[in-house]
Amino acid sequence: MSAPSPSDTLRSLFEPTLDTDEIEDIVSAFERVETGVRPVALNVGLILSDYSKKAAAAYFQVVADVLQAISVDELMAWVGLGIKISQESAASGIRFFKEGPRIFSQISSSAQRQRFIELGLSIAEENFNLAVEYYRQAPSLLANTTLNGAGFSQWVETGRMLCREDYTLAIEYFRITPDLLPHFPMSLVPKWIDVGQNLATEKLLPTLLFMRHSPEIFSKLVSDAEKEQLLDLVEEVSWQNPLLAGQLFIDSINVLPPFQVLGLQNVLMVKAIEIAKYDAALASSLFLNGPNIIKALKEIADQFPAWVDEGIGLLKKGSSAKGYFELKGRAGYDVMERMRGGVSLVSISKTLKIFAEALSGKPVAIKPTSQRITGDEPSSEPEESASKYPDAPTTDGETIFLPAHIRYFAQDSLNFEWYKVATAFQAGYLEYNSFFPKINETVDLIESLQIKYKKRGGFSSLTSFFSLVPEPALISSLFEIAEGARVEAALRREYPGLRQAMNRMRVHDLDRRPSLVGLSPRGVVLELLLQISISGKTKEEIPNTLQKIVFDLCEILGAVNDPSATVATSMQVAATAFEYLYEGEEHPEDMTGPMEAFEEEGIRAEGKGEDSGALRPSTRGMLDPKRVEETQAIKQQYTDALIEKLKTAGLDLSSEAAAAALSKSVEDGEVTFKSIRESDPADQVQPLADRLIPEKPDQGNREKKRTFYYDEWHCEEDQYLPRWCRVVESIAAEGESETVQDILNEYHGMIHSITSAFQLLRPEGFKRIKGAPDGDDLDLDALLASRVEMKSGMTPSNRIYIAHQKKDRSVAVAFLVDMSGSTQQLLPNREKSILQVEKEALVLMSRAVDAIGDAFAIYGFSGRGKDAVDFSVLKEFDENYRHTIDRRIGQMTPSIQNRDGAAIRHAVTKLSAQACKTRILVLMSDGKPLDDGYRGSYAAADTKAALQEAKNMGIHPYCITVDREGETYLKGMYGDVAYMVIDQVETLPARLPRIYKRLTT
Amino acid sequence: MDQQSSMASFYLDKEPFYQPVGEEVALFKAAYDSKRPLLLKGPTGCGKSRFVAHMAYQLKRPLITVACHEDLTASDLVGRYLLKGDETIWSDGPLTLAVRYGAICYLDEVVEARKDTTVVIHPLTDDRRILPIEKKGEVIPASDDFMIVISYNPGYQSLLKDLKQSTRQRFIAVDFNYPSRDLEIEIVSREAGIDRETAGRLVSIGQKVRNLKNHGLEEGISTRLLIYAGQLIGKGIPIHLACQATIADALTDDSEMRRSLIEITQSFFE
Repeated sequence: MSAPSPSDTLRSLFEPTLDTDEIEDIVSAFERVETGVRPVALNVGLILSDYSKKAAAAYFQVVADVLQAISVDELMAWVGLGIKISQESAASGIRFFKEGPRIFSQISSSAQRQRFIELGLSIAEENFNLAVEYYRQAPSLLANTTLNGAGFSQWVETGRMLCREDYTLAIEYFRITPDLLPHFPMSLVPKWIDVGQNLATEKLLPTLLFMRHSPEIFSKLVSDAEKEQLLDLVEEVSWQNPLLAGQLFIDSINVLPPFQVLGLQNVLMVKAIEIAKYDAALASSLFLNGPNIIKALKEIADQFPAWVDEGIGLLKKGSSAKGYFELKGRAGYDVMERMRGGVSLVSISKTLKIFAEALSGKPVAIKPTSQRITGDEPSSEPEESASKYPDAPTTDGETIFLPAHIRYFAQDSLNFEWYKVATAFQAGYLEYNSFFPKINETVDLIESLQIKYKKRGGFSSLTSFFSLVPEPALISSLFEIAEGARVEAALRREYPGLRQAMNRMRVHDLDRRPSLVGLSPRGVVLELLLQISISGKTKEEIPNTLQKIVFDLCEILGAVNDPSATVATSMQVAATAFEYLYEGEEHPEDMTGPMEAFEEEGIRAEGKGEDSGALRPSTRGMLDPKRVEETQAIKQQYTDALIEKLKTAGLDLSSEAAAAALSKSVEDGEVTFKSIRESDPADQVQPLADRLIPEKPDQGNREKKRTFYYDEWHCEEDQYLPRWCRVVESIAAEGESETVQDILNEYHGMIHSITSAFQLLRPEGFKRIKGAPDGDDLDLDALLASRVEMKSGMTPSNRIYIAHQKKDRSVAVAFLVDMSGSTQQLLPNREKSILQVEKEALVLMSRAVDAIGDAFAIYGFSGRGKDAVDFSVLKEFDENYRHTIDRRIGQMTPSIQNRDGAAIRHAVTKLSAQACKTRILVLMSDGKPLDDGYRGSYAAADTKAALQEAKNMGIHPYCITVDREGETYLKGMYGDVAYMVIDQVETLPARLPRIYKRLTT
Repeated sequence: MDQQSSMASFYLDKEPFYQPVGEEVALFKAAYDSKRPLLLKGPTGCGKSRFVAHMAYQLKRPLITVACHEDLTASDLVGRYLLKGDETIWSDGPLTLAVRYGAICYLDEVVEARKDTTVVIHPLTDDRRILPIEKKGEVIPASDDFMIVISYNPGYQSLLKDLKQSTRQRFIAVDFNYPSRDLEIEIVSREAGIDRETAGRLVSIGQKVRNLKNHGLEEGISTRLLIYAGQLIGKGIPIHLACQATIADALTDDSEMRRSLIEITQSFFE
């Protein structure tokens, strides 16, 4: 009996499961197998069919194609692998065989195929799913030459290792690496996996995301070194914050390109790694903000490393650099400004302020133009020029507003000169009284305009004068030109030293004038007038048609150069020039173009775009009479309100004094001149009034609270917040004398011994110093000795006088006691609270210091929030020690929080008024400063700053704390300021006098 | 006597230039005639000392000036025993000299002296016009020509450096201030030997800088400093350097204030 043909074998094999068509498909596919190998192929297939008929069907479909690429031996190995997979899952088996032709078409060398299948088998031993994934992905890796043989084995081995830890990851690994490896060295793969695994928190997702994004991200990086850096960065951050690290990695696709353009990607990563070692969150702040930083740095982007280094410097100094790297707050931008060169207003505002005050003879503040309050009436009024030229120098009569930064010139001396000239102009407007014309000088002019234009008013102010004519905007522009010229002439006369600077700036100003193109005829005329007024010439040639007009107007305006010219002169010439222009119908042949009436603000709104406005300001800045008049009016109301308030408190203040106090207050930012509609002046001046009303001692109103304002150090912004904290001072309430009596009874013996010890320290009023070289009296003993020496031929001593030297201890001490809520904590071993112990210490201390005769004061502090720092006076320096003070100490009750900085500053202020040689501030605290928005490093930095201020004023601060953990933060906060941690609180009463003695002797 | 002959050295041989600002000359003469002490108050460098010198010359009296300081004791003013050879001899202090020989005793910046020191002048400044010398047990009546003049600068707003009421109420007071612009130009130009134009600019600087008093500067710039500036300019020192040395650097140590002062001075000279 002959063996059945392979086709029949197949038919009978699949008869029961498949329909005829499918079977015939398989048969005809198998018949394409070379006859020589057909039996082997058939047998192999039959073995397979024992495990899975469906897989076998797939096998017979493809075996002819597969055998095109591989040998019979390889075929058997391949099917062996297929069997392993089919055993686990028929579906996977079917797919395994179906993919055969594609797989093998990619692997050309027989050795590779062998290894491919061998490794596949070994993987299948462990996990068939992984083997399937391997089987699918490996060929593409083998096909392109990114991996050599060893690399391939390593790749497989890594996958297997991974599988032992987590099979999902291993699958993902095989799936992703073929895309990754063309851009990523195999040598880094283990690290890549480590980093990826670092990201996993409880869930695997972050790691999977990391892997999936990797091909794209790494494909964008050129060198292996960079890729490693990025991994390093992610790793460094992941130690502290895995989620952030994952975020950082995924976002790097957006972050890095701008840096790559500049070739700075290495720097970014290296710096971020450096920062990550301190603070991962900060590093990712830097990294994720990178593009914004580059954008902000603009033309100095190449200085990015230096900029980051400044931030790292901040970090190393101990302040938080978060705001810096996130570009929130000023610090980051300030450094950029500095790097950019040029001169910033901040750096010279004090110089300019003094300069302006000297010139104008009145107090002025210098502020950046951004602080100019603009457009407080959004509804009716048209857009002001101020908002059109937000950077133009201008003044409201109290403050001179200047651009925050000037870098027009390469040389900073010239940039400074710009500021100086601009300041001189603004001060000049004040010095030469540009805003408040004298009525007697203007009465004729105004009356003639009233008649001419049939209007009323015009006397009260410049703006009312402008509104006499049909086009206030036009006359106001003309006035601005005239007045600028007048003040310039006056400045040049009065300050010859400014002339050269003004000459240099006029060249610059002319250079920056806009083109005439696009301006209306009147705009052109005004622009030309201004140019001539600034520099005596024009940037472009005067159009022929306008020559006559321009020259006529120049002649009119020329009157302001006369030394006797006042603002009235400028008003006069502006009016004349206005009439000349307004009645331009007389010269229609000269005025080309339409002569439509200008709108209210027409002259400024002319032209197109921002840069073509007719009167773009120069160093002369902008005249804003309206603002000055408003400010003046508001100030008057404020002054009146202040005087009124003080009057009710029984204090008569001259209006000049009130105005001066108000100016100072505005400069300090305490009061803002808001329009009356917005706020009640009476409310606004209240804090100022509180400050001006002096406390009247011993007149029944000692209960009265006084308010003080202190700056607070903002470590992140590296600057003081002006008048940030409000300290409310009050006299402490008196309680029953029993509390203190108890203390006195308890410590009776100790008080006695301390008091007598301290009395010994009390110095005598005068000390007679014998044998002095100079003095009021002869020291007879010494004189005698000297005589004897002389008679016996020796050189006599000249120390023969008695000097009276006043021996003064001259010590003033303020005890500042923390009364925050935490002081009510009970001590562990006794039934006393910390506050109670503090009280005892104070009672003892008071007696001791009183015995020694030093001036001393006792203050307590507490409070809630920066606006309510309670400062309670238990004993003032000028009060004698008596029972009322004991009763106040007895009544001390714990309050809420403690804002140490403000309290220290207030105590220092009081202490510094004491005319003693040695001034000591003893701070008694139970813990860290803590208040609303006042904690941690911020509070520590402010406290430190306050203590430093004290030291600068020659006051010795000393801190005694009962917080056992004090050692950890006191060092940072108090630095080299002396402090002591008292670990056994109950010993405080006994130790305090001893500490004091040591401090003062 | 030795000491009397030494008085000759206290006479001024040349008339010091002084440009009266107000009625101070008449007041001084009236005080002198009525044997009353005089208190000159005013900012530093406005001409107080010069005025006293000028008046001493006018009245043909010797002038004994004591610059007061913290360590000035009563003995420094009154006198003390010294050893000379084998004996102790009494040596008159400046005040005693002036009392004895009818000089004008000028205690400059009297508030600088210790308060107990200033008390020794009390018996001299009222009707008694005597100087008790405790150590000698002697009371010296003041010569008719004796006059005491003290000066102080109320600008120091320290509580410690204030004159006691019991002291100040014994004096006729003359308030000095900086001279008016024209006068000051005259003074600066004459004292420094420079032209009026330059002097005018210096005075303008002075006026501008005085605007800054209490706005950063403790004291306005004194006429004396303006004269110094003028003198340096007269000696050929470049104007900016002269102004820097005598104005900016002399007035302040604050770097920003200094810079502003330099800018201000430079604004007046090309």
